[in-house]
Amino acid sequence: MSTGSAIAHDWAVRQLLAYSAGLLPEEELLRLEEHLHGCPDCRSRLAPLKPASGTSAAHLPASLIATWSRSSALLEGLERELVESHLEDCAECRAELSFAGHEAVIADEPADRPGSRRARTGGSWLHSLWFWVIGLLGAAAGVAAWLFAAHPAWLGGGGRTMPGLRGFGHAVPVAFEFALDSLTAGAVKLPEPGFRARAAKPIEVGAVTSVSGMVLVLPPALQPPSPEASERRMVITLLQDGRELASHTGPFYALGDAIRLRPEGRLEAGDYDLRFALDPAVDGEPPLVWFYRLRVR
Amino acid sequence: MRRKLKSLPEDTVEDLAREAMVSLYRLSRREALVNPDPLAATLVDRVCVDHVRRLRGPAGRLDPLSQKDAPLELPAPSPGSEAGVDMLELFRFVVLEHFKQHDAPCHELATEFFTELSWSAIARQRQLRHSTVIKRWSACMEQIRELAYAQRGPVWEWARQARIV
Repeated sequence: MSTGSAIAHDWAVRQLLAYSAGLLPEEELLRLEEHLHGCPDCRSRLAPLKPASGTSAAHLPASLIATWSRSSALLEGLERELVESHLEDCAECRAELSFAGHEAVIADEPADRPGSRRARTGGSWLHSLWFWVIGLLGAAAGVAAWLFAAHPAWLGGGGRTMPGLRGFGHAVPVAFEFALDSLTAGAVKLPEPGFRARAAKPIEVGAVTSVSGMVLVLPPALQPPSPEASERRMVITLLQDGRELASHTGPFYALGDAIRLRPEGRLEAGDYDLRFALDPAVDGEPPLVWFYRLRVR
Repeated sequence: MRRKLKSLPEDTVEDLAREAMVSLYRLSRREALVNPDPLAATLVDRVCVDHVRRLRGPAGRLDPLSQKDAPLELPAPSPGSEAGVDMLELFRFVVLEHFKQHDAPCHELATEFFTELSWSAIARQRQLRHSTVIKRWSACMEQIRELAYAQRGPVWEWARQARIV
């Protein structure tokens, strides 16, 4: 193998995991598939990542079912919701959980809590739990730096903890409307955010219903400063305790002077985060992110 | 299982045996099992291999293993290793389930890709150009990247640790 092809092969090997998760960017995807076509070594490395015959990624992994009591307790946010909703619909997965000796309910207490069922059934499960926890702590250390850069509000100690999601009811769908008149009755003016600012103190927005929704007048920072900037992509996400309720992706210019968030029905009272993420001017840089915390009555 | 994996802790044996049994049960519900004993042995073998791969963490997960029938050495858990749950499988499940609820075309593409692991094959099946299928998937992939920015939990943490989002 020549030096050039060895380098290409090393590069390809490093991309295989992202490829198998479906997360390789377009150009790299084309390059990797071209390499895979002529590389039996890479194809053989990829083969174990194919689902086993008769299994499908559309159902809960067998490894999750096998370790359900402790593993399901660690699920959070969206992943927890998706597993929960899948279980409601999927008789097969419920049957498999039952076969494995588990109830089809996501555990909501740490498995090693004194008095819990797992703690009483012996030390072996505890040992596995700690194995898992240690792995996660390792992962958390690596992720902490990323979180600090991308989501300073989460780590900023704003006096707010993020509870588990099991207590929440079903989310109300929320639609976004753009380029509204800033003089719309009942509009709330958003303050100027700082760059990567913490979510400031909550902005009181009153009750939010499908009738008038919530109209937010955008500050100058959320309006394109130049024609070039106006084409950049803006992603607006409404979150409740880290869980995405609604999201919109579009060009920066489309926001206009004011936007409206209109739920179907009434938005549950509580705090919400509205996140604006603007693509960077230079590829490879992180997006510019602003958070607002909205308090709904 | 103990023949395949040296020095396996008791609790891990229990987990892996249960994982193999769940896979066997899953298969038995989809088709009649003609010869279950060899199938069970194959599943146990695969579960052991997968366990070793998971312990190696994202960086070493795809490295070749030792000889096919030789006992496997249990590696020391590396950063990001997945002792209990196959996080790649769980990640794929979360992606599929998200698309199932929010985006049917992306759900179809994801389902096909996670089965085939080849966009070329999918392009052939759909009688589309390779680049067209990939472009369609890229729009879906952006949704996943956006989720990875906003979401927390083991799945997303694993994906960030593995540097795939």
